[in-house]
Amino acid sequence: MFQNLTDASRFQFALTALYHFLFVPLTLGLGFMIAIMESKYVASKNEFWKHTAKFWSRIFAINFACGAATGIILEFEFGTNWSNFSWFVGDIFGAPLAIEGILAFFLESTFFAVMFFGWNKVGEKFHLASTWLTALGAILSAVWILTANAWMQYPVGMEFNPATARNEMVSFSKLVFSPVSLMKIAHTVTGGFVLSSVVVIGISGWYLMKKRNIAFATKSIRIAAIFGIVSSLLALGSGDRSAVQAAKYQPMKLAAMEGLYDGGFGEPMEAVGIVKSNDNGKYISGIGIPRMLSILSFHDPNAYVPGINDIIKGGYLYTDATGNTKKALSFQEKKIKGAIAQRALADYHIASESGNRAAMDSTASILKVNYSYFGYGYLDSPQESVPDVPMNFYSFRIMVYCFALFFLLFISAMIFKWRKWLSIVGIICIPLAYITVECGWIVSEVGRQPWVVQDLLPAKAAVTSASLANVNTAIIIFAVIFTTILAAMLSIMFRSIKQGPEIIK
Amino acid sequence: MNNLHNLQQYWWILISLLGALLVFMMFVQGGQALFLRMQANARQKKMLYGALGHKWGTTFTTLITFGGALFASFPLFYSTSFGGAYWLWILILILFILQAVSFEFRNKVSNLLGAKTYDFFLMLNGFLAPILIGVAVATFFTGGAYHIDKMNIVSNGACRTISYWDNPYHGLECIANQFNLLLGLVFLFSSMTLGSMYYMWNFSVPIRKSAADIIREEFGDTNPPSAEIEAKRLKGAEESLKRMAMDRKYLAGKAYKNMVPSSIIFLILFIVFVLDFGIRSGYAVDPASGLITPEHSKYLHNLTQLVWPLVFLCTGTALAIFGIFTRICKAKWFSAKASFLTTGLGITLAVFSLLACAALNNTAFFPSTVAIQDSLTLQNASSSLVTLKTMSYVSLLIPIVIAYIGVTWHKLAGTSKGY
Repeated sequence: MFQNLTDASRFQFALTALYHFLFVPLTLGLGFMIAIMESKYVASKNEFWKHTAKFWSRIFAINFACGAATGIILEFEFGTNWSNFSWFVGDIFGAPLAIEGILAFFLESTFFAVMFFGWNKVGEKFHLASTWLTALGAILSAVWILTANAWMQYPVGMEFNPATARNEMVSFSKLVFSPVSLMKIAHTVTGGFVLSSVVVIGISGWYLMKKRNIAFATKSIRIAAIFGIVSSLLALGSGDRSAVQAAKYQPMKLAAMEGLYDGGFGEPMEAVGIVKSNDNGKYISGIGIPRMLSILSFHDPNAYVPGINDIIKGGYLYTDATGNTKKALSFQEKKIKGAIAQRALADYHIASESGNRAAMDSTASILKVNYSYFGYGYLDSPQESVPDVPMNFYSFRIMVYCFALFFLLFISAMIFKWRKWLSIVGIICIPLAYITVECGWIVSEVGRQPWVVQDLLPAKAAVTSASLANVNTAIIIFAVIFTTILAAMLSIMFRSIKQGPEIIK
Repeated sequence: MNNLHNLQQYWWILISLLGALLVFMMFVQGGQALFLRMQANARQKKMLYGALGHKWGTTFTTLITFGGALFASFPLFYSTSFGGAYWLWILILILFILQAVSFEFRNKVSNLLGAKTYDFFLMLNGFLAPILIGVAVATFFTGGAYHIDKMNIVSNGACRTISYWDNPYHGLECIANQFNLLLGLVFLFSSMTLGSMYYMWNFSVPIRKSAADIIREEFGDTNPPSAEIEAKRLKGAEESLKRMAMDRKYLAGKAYKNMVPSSIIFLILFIVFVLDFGIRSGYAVDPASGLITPEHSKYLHNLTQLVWPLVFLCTGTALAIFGIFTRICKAKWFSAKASFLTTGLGITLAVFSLLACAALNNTAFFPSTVAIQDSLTLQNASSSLVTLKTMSYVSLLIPIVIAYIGVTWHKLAGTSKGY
């Protein structure tokens, strides 16, 4: 098992988060599709739509329960495994988590109960409203948790308070309306919609291949394909903006995604490639599309894109968040500033204990000037500031190419008469869709490393001082439980699909 | 809303309320703990699941919100207790993970592990979750073995963690503490009392369904093919209605048999706990200097000095006893629903006042057993003014949440799933 507490804690979080996201994305999109189907039933009184909605509801319910079961652990893990993080940023980070509980989970779980136990008990309109509210609740949960996650990538709206040794919120609206947060919400939710469309088309395609439930499958495909096309376009737009934001706020993440070691002006983008290493370090061997990376990152074919080595060396010009052109600092310069900031915080406390106001003020102002590089003070070598390149490079490409395949599937489902090959492609796309969304999270979170809060706190300074054996044990327990849950869930889903929607007598 | 001190008090009151509501909502766990003692056959078991099926989500969400609210309002507690008493919290979470999937998987075909395994998981959750939550909540009074030094975060040494636990058991030792365990047992028996009372309510209301409803559920809205088949269907539906009524009577009776001993044990344990609570020493905080000193009968002083918790505690206890009493003697003038709700309200009020005493009136709410001055207080553990203020605006929406939960419960009440 792991030999290092930080790695073990990171793995525990990654494991539980990746499992959690196997169950969540389907509920994001399927909830709305069910709501549309049920609305058709209420409007037309056609029993067909009721049975269609009920069938997809069963699939939704299983995913919902597994999502809840695997989600509860994530919230508490911030405390159990990342206790320094909980204090260092809890003043900001805790709020969206609490709001998620109060405003979203209760909505979701309350109306979920009506959705499943309420048929024949509550009126049709109340039931329909409950279905819509459950779908809305699922989205709202995502909104708040993604707001919290986006803040880790792009911390705004806070100020460091040396007296309490933590970041404190100064603007809630900056946290909520942070551009990174809005894009993250849009991209993750629409990504969930795309996955839901793929799943509905894949399952329906299987029925068509088996020549059963033809009307059900054809109409489900119709709804899912339209839903999928719209969502794909939104996912594409938000993905494009996310890349621009990464270039602006997390250049190291972008460089890792692209395997860009040495950057330059008018950078190409590797369409395909593999990460290799030689005596001079690692490099990418592949086929590039000229200027594509500059276009995608800065919407300018000649823009300068810094590579990993450039970011470590510094010295290039870039535009910061406020629009000013600045010269990039080298890793060493950032590290020195970080060390000064940390030193100032320690000195502040010495001054505060002896009641020396003048020294407190001067150390506080030194801290303030250097605070944006606080986290670099923890890093020992430049290599520590670089995320895992192969993992980011490959994950990003898998995500993009699978996405393109799904888009073609939606278009084909709209224009072609259904054929066996479409069913086969649809079925293959289901596991690919799950791989795609997980890859998206890998790019986002592994690309963020070594930081848990960008530039301010690296994972190794955020971790709880639990013993390694504890965390290794917890990893084994969670791996066993979650794998069992997944297996049972798949077994029930397959059975449910095989059984199919109720046939109207 | 602009005074940090008041907001800290407000948020502790909210946390206490959420904790108390969680204890009430654990009637679902109590219902699970009674599974074996209800001696139900397969069909009746499904009815028990149906009765609890649409309630577990609310309990689960209350726990999540309790955690989220603690994180947002007192992050130092989150950091210290969760990181330190690691295994205590991880065990609680595992129990709730098992519960969530078991309710969903249990009655499904091809559920891999079999219904019996999920029954076992639910029993495990039913017994252990109330006990461990009791233990965790009791640490507000008994504290934990931790040190805090916020400057560790900028230390060059190996330990950068601002809080660390003093023993290798990481929270398991909290389970061995008598006071903690006593509260755990109080919660277990309060859950079982409320769980059985909930069953009594659920299975005593008249069935709202008619034979026609059952036929429609089974065969859809279409017209029967012949008069002969129609008569056959009607007969079948009437029989199943009759069977339903018998099953419900049987379960309500079994619930009563369980409720009597559970509620008596609960009341005895509760009184012992309150007495223990009253004589317990606590830690007082000097609001000006932050200095923490031990004080005899601190919690009793909190009750008598603040007065309202004492009133709440007495009222709550009286309501709980009244609710239990009316059910034990099967009072005709007080319905099973009214008894359940009265007892629930009583337990909520009593737990609320006890939790409020853990921190209000200048009390250290999570004392450190190894370094008294490191103990958590509302002042040193809370979020900043801006965060507490923002969250307070959000908290104004809580009544709306409670209202829509009430409306949906009312609409779903009466007959359980399938029956």
